[in-house]
Amino acid sequence: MATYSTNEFKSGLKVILEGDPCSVVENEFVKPGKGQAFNRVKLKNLKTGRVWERTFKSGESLEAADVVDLEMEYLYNDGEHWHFMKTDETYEQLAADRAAVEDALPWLKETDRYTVTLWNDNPISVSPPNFVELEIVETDPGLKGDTAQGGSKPATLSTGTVVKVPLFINAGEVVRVDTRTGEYQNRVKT
Amino acid sequence: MLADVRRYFDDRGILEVSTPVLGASGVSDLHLENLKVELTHSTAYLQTSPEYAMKRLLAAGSGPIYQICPAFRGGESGRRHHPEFTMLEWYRPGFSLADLIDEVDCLLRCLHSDLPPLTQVTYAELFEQVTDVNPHQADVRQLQELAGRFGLDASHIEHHDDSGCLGDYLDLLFATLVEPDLEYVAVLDFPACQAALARCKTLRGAVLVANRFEIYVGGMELANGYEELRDPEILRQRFDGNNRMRSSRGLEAIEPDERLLAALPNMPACCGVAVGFDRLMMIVHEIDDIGQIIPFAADFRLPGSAPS
Repeated sequence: MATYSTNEFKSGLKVILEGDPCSVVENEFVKPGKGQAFNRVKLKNLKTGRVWERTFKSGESLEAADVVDLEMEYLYNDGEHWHFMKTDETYEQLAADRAAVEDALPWLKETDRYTVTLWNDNPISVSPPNFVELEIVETDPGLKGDTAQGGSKPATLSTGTVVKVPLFINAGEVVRVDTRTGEYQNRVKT
Repeated sequence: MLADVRRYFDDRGILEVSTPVLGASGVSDLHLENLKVELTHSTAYLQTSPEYAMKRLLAAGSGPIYQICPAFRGGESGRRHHPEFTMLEWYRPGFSLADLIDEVDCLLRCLHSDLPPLTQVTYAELFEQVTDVNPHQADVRQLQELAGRFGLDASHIEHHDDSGCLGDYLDLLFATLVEPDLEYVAVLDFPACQAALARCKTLRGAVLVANRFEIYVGGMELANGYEELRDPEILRQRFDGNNRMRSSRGLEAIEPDERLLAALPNMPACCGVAVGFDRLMMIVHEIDDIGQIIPFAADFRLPGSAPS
């Protein structure tokens, strides 16, 4: 298995730390004058999303992690697993468990495409695109005339997620939502 | 900038010297990696600093001297480090450490007018402010606990039965908890285990400290000054101590520089300081990567690994 030494660490490099795949976020070489050199490294655990800050003796190595990001289409949920299909010509399908899809669940819509992170060919995390378009299934009726500004109201999306929308939006309409903030962006004409 | 620095020293009657970049002796400091060059009949060392040779000149009666020269340290590469860098080093017979700090301050102001007033504070005061622990009295176990308390990962430190890992813990704690906040500060009275070639003195009749200073600018170590040790026996003991630490860590021993030891009794009482010239340029030009200062440094960087 390939290894990387601390002087090869750079942002985005995938390595294994304590048995988990991690992505290097930042790597700083620290050496006080005639003192011991070390590398202060920030790594994101790709399974949990947590960021670790570690120091390594300069020149120390970590095993490379076989991690790739793939664009895949979400198919269906069988109650236990969420199934995704490759968008290349292979149509190969992979099943992700709850831990992997957790962050994407509020935005998961069949036939939409997501970024699936694979470690040794197993899905370990699923990220939604920055913006998704989802149908509103339930909200208070729209108020006529109030099309420009004013208050907001809760609306339930087809995924079950509740977002705040302007008062003029009706059930059955499709809206665009920023998945990073969970904020309504605009109405989408269908 | 080189011309400004030379004018500064010329105006003060300090002689510019040039000593060999390739020396017959290396340094035994635990954490300095000598770069060796194999010659036909011997091994030579690219100098980690011009210190030994300049001290031999002082002992031969040179009077005050300065030098701007390349220095080499293996394994050092990062935003503030490059294996080959430029050192500005000078020695002042008859100067006290306080005189030398004033002179460094004056030079820095000549080159960079926006510096705030220089603060002078001891290593112990800074260390205690953050940790409540006296660095001169703490043992390895206490420092280990401190690192834990501040959530620092110290797994890179090798434990051996000597002062080496004490110094390693002090460095980790000081570099992480104290240094980043030092805007323009001269730090005084270092722990005795970090004396290197500085004379040690006793504070309040009890605590042994190294009579040396470091000047930090914007959280970066820039200048390292010593009241120079002149006792060859003590220096030999330090070299031997270094080599014991090297051997317990599986590192090659470096023979003491006998020519330096022989010259030392003739060296006048003096203080000396080394300034990282590339870092000085980083400060003056407000650049945070040494790779943008040193010409062709990029030739040595791994593809895509330029510091972010």
